[in-house]
Parts: sequence; C-alpha cells; structure tokens
Amino acid sequence: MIPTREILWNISLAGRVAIYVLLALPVGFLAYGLARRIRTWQRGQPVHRFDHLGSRIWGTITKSILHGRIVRRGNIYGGVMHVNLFWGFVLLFIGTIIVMVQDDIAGPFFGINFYSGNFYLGYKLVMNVAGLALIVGVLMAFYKRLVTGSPWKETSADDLILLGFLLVLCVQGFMLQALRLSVTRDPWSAWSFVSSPMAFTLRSAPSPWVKVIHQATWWSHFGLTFVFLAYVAYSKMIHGFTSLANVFFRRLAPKGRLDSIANIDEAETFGLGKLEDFSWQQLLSADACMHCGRCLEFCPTFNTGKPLHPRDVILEIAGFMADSGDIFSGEVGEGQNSARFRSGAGPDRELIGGVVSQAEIWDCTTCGACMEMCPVAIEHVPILVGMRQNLVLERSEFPREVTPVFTNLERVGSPWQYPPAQRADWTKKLDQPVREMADVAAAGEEVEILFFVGCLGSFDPRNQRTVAALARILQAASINFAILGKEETCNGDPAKRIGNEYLAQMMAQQTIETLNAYSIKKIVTACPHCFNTIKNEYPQLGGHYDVIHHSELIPQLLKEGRIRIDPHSDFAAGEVTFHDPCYLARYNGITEDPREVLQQLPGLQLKEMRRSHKHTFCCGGGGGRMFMEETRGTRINRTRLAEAQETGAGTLAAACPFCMTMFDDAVQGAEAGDSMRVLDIAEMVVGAMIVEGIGDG
Amino acid sequence: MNKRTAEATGAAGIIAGIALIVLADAAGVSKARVFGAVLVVLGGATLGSGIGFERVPEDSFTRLIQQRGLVFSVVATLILVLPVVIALGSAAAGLGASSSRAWILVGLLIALLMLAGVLFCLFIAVRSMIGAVRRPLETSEASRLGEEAT
Repeated sequence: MIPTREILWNISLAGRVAIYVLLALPVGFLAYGLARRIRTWQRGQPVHRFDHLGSRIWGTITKSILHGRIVRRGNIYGGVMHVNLFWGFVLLFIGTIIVMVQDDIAGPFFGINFYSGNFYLGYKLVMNVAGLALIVGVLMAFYKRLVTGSPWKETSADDLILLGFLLVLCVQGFMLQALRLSVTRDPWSAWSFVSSPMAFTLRSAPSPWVKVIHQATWWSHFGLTFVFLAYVAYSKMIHGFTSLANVFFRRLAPKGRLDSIANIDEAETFGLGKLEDFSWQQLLSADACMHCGRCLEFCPTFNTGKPLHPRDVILEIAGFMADSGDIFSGEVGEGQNSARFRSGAGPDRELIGGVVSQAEIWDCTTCGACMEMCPVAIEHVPILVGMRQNLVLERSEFPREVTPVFTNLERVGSPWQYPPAQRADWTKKLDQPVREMADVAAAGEEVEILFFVGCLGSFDPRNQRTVAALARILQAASINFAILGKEETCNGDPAKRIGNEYLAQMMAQQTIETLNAYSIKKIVTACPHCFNTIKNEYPQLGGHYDVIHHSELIPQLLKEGRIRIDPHSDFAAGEVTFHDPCYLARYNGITEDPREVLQQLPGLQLKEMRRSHKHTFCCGGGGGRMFMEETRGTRINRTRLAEAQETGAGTLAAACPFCMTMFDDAVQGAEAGDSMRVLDIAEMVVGAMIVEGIGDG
Repeated sequence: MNKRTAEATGAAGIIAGIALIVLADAAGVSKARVFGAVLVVLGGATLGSGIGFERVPEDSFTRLIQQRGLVFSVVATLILVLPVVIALGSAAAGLGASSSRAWILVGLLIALLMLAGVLFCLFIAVRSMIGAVRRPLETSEASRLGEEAT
C-alpha cells in the first residue's frame, strides 16, 4: 500500500469548482489594495534603485528571507518568533501549491503522482512541523504583546486580528486533517503527528457526522483563507510585500551619507514638505513598517521621554499616505490615534505640523540608532533631515538658537564667533611647531597626511587638549603632517543635519577647493563628524580623499612600533568605559580600533556599558542638537552618563569632540567630576606614551 | 492598455475562467480546470489593480465592518469552533469504549488547546474591534536616570 491521500477528499464537485471560481475575490481585493498603494508611491520623486541587482537580491535573501536583520543580539525572542511565523506560513503556502500542482497539472497532464510514497510522508511531516511552528510563533507573539510587553511595543487591533487569523487557520488545517484521518484511518497517519492524536478522539463519532463536520470545516477554512488573503493589503500584513521590496530597493550608499540636493542653485523646492517631495522608495518604506518598535530600543529621544519616536513618524507618514490615497487600512474601532494606526484623520493636513510635528523633527540627533535596528531597512534620518530642509530653506522656521550658528558659519566658517586666525592657536601649547599647509606649499613640500582639526578641536579649550594630544602622537611617530590653520572651515556637517543644505554645500565646496588646491590625498581627524562628512559625503561633491579617524590611526602606529606605551605608566590604570560615538560606530562600523588602543594601556580594565558598539546610545550632540536647547524630556547626555556610571568605571573614554563636550556638561551638571573623568583616547595614549623630547610648552 | 480596458479585460477574464471551469467539470475534462483558474486569477488581479489605480473607493464597506464587527465575529466563532467541539464530544464518548485511550487523551488535550486558542483569538479580536485603547508608551529605565530637561 503506497502512502498517499485523495486530494479534496469528501469535497463535492461544487467545492472543487468554487475554490477556483471564488479565487477571483481575494486576488482582486489583494490586487486592488496593492494598486492603491503603488498609486501613492508613484506620487514620489524618481530615484534609480535597479542598480547592483546582485547585491540587492543577495541583501534581500540574507537580511529578510534568512532573517539576518531580524534575529539579532537583543532580539532573539522576537527573531525566533518571526522565524516561526515566516517559515511556518511560507512552508504551508508552498505545501498548498504542491497539492494544486499535483491535482491540476502533474496528474491530469502528465499522469504523474508524486504526491505519494516517501515524498508524501515527508511532506506530511514538514507540513505538521510548519503548522506547529506557525502556532508556536503566534503564541509567542501573543505572549510578547499581551503578557510581557516591552516599552517599545504597542498593540493595535490589526496586530491581534492578524495573529488570530493565523492561529485559527492553522487550527482549522489540523482539524481538517484529523477529521479525514478519523474516517480514512490511514496506517501512516503518525507522520501527521499533530492531527493524528486528534483523529483518535473523533473515531467514536459516527462517520457520516464526521464527514459533514469535515465539509463544514473545509468551507469555513476555505472562506477564512480567502478573507485573510483579501485583508492582507489593508493591514500590516502588507509588510510581507513591502518590507521585502524595501530591503531590495534600499539605498546602497554609505550609511553615513546624506544625499546632497543636486543642482541646488536651480532647485525650486527643498526637502520634504509634502508627500510629492519624497522619493517613491521613501514612500514605499513608510508602508514597509511592521510596527515592531525595534527602532525605539536605542533611540535617545524615545528613551528620554521626548515626542520623537521614529516608528511613529513613519506610521504618521504611512497613515497620511493611506488617507491621501483613499486606502482603507488599519484599525477597526473608535478613538484611535489616526496616524499611529493608519485610519483616517483625513488627507487635508499639512505634512509638517499636521502629520509630523516640529518637535519630532527637531528633536532628532541623527544618531542612526533607528536605522541600525530597523529590520526592514527604513531610513528615518534622511526623512527627518529632509523635513528640516523644508523648514529651513522654504519656510525659514528653525529653533532660534540655530540662527547664530548659520550666521557664524557664513561669516567666519565655524559655528562660533571665533576668527579664523585663531584656528591654530592650540598649537602654541606644543613644544614642536605644527606646520600649516600654506607654509608647506610655499616651501614646495608635501605632507604625508593632513590633520583636519575641526571646529571644536580648534576653538573649544577642552577639545584643544584632545587635538594637541593627537598632534603629539603624530609628532612622536615622526609623521610628516600639517594642518590647514586659518584656511580650515567647518566641513558643513552641522548645517547639513540642521537642514541648511545650501550652507552645507557652500562649506563643503569651500573645504574641497582648499584641500584640492594642496593636492591632499590623506586626511586624519579626531572628529567622527568631520570624518564621516569628508569620507562619505564629499565624494558627491567631487572631493575624494583617504580619510582616517584617529582611533584607527593610533592602533596602527602602536602596531608598527612608531609610538610606544610606557609599561609602567599608571595614567590610564583603573576601570574605564568606552562610549562609541554614533558617527564612528554606527555609521562607519569602527568599534574595535578604539578598544584595541585602550587595551594596550597598562592597568586599564575595560568595562562595557549595556549599550555599546553599534548598539551605542547617543550623547545627544549630533544632528546639530549640540547647538539647540534640550527642552523636552530628560537630558540625553545625563542618561548616557548614568549608564557609564552604572559600570563603576572612573573614566569615560570617548573619541569624539561632540561627545566630549556633552559628557563634560553632564559631569558638571551631575557634579560627578570627582568620580568620573572624561578623556579622549588620544589623551589617554599620550598620558601613557613614552615621550622622547616632546612635552607641553 | 488604458485603465478602462484593463478593467474590462479583467472582468472578461474572470467570466471566461469561471465558464471554462464550470463547463470543463460538467464535461469531465479536468485538464481544462487549471486554465480556467489561471484566467480567474489573472482576471481578478487585472480587475482589482485596474480599479485600484483608477477609482476612489466607497467607504460603506468599511462602515459596515465597523458597525457589524461583533455580529460577524459571533457567527464566525460558532462556525470556527464547531469541529473542535465535535472532536471533544466524540472524545468523551470514545473514552469509555475505545482501546486507544492514551491516544484519545492526547488528542483531547490538543483539541482543548486549539479550542482555547481559537476562542482566545476571537475574544481578543472582538474586544479590539469594539474599542482598542491606545496605551501610552512607557519610556525606559534610563530615562528616569536623566535630569529633567525642562
């Protein structure tokens, strides 16, 4: 006896016909919903996302299908839950297709019955495992949503209805199998290990009864499946399509790059002021959000009680798109926040102010925690900066504290009112002089590397100590370097991230002209913001340089023996915790180099904060926030300082002048100067370095 | 193909597909069913997307679901739990007579769990439909360690 089963057992001809005839309904509803969404995405600006097809396909497979961005450290429970849901659903879907292929193609056309023997037994086993996995996934989701919860998880009716659909469909599937097995009594029924025991419970019922119940269950299962398919495009289940599409069409540019506005002098609109200003891919990304809230986990504004929750911004935009595109989607009920759950507060709203508040837009530190965590590759920061661009360049609306920053950048090339002539004053503290490029060029010489000091390093007394330390390291390593001195200007990062793209491009062009005039090839900087901008954003404007951050250079010099650490130094001894700057760790993936430096310092014990490496927590100074008042929620720098204090370390090591400034403020504000010192890694190296003939002036 | 043509083509595809399936089964030519199914699917997709790209939808359907959600759910519950209830009744009857008591008990347990799951899902869904309340998000512990900015 060959193991197999009769397909559509106990189902009349009417059922066989109906299953195909009625297929038009769910397919039509699904196509209608998808078309409405595509219609809204088409309102966006063109952007080419069909390049590098190999990378896109591979990325989609690894990040989404194989769950590379979903099963991650800190999200094991959620990841496993989603693996169960995804693969359970996919396998059951494939299983249904296999049955259809056997019944409608292989059998009638080729006379082949592959749905038998060992294949059939394996199929039954896999389908039972898949169904069970899906049920386990649904129960895990219910448990997470209704029992344990999490600060960043909130539950809408849509979430619960979808989970309910999946669970009920699975239970029905197993029941159908059990009802059939109780009548047919297949000897191989043990392979259906979930439904087989239930078949035993049904054996006492009269067969005619069981057959009737089987038919009723089949019809309700069939109807419910069709309702579910029809509902997909109007619920968050749409992410099955949109998240895959978003990962496929994701931006492949370096993470730290904010795209420049091309031909800005001829541009008629700036930034994102209405849906039509977004690219089609950005609109698609809003529909890709699955509401998981992973973006909130490391978000400095969410975690300090500010209005900006990156997920909500995306859902607000998605809700507005749904309203504007006449899409019925989302919450069935009353009293919902329309934007959050996508049901209509109407399309007659302004994007900025009516949909996304200015508080949300201005609170962002552009730290990128949301983008790093997002499983479906949504890019929140470019959207928020885009809205800032619209406010700054079209409406001249921005926090008043930013006005002097713009003015100073235009007049003196730095966010503060210091004259350019003072840019190199910090070098006077050094024994050995630091040459400026103008003098180097006048002498007809070249340098090995340009030290791009940055504005904080040039003018802020605290950060001057860091750049002086780096200069001493370069001198100790006998590196032929120079600085731009009074010719250096801000690289444009603060202006760009505050939304003044025009000013940012002006600053960038000016710097590129200066660097190119001296034929600069290699640049070192102690500022991750300068590093990121020059490395990742200048190529868009014609500036191509080999840029290195000092946290990468120092371990290299140590390795090459060009600088040496005094093994008896106790300068850095004790417990030290390292704060990963966002623009170094998250945007540029540099997390191990600074730790390598610290681990070479004698007596130093590295204590990691609970949020570290790429999952670092912002200091609160990025995205121009250092120049703005922090008026909402609690202070981000204090929150991070508290995390550093939790480690018990007496030293907070940093590698960014913005972070240094924010932590110095936090330490002073918390009156924690006695228990916590804040040092840049360059200062720590210099403090422990064997110095031959070099010292403070 | 303009959108009106797409809608007409889609509708024609569905009708032709249905006719093919019905006639084929009536004539006992099962091979034709798959072609009818393909026509129905393509027709449904073409019609759905054609309307989706073109027309503004009526919201009466949405209102109907909102107003009658509870009734729909109760009816759905009765239909959905019926097989599981039958399984439980049958198991109760079988426990006294059958020699496979252990298996029946296992099946009974699974059926009970499934019944609980289905009822729980429907309860949750109905409760959510009647009026889900947006819960305020709690901030993390770290935020409490920070100083109030204001």
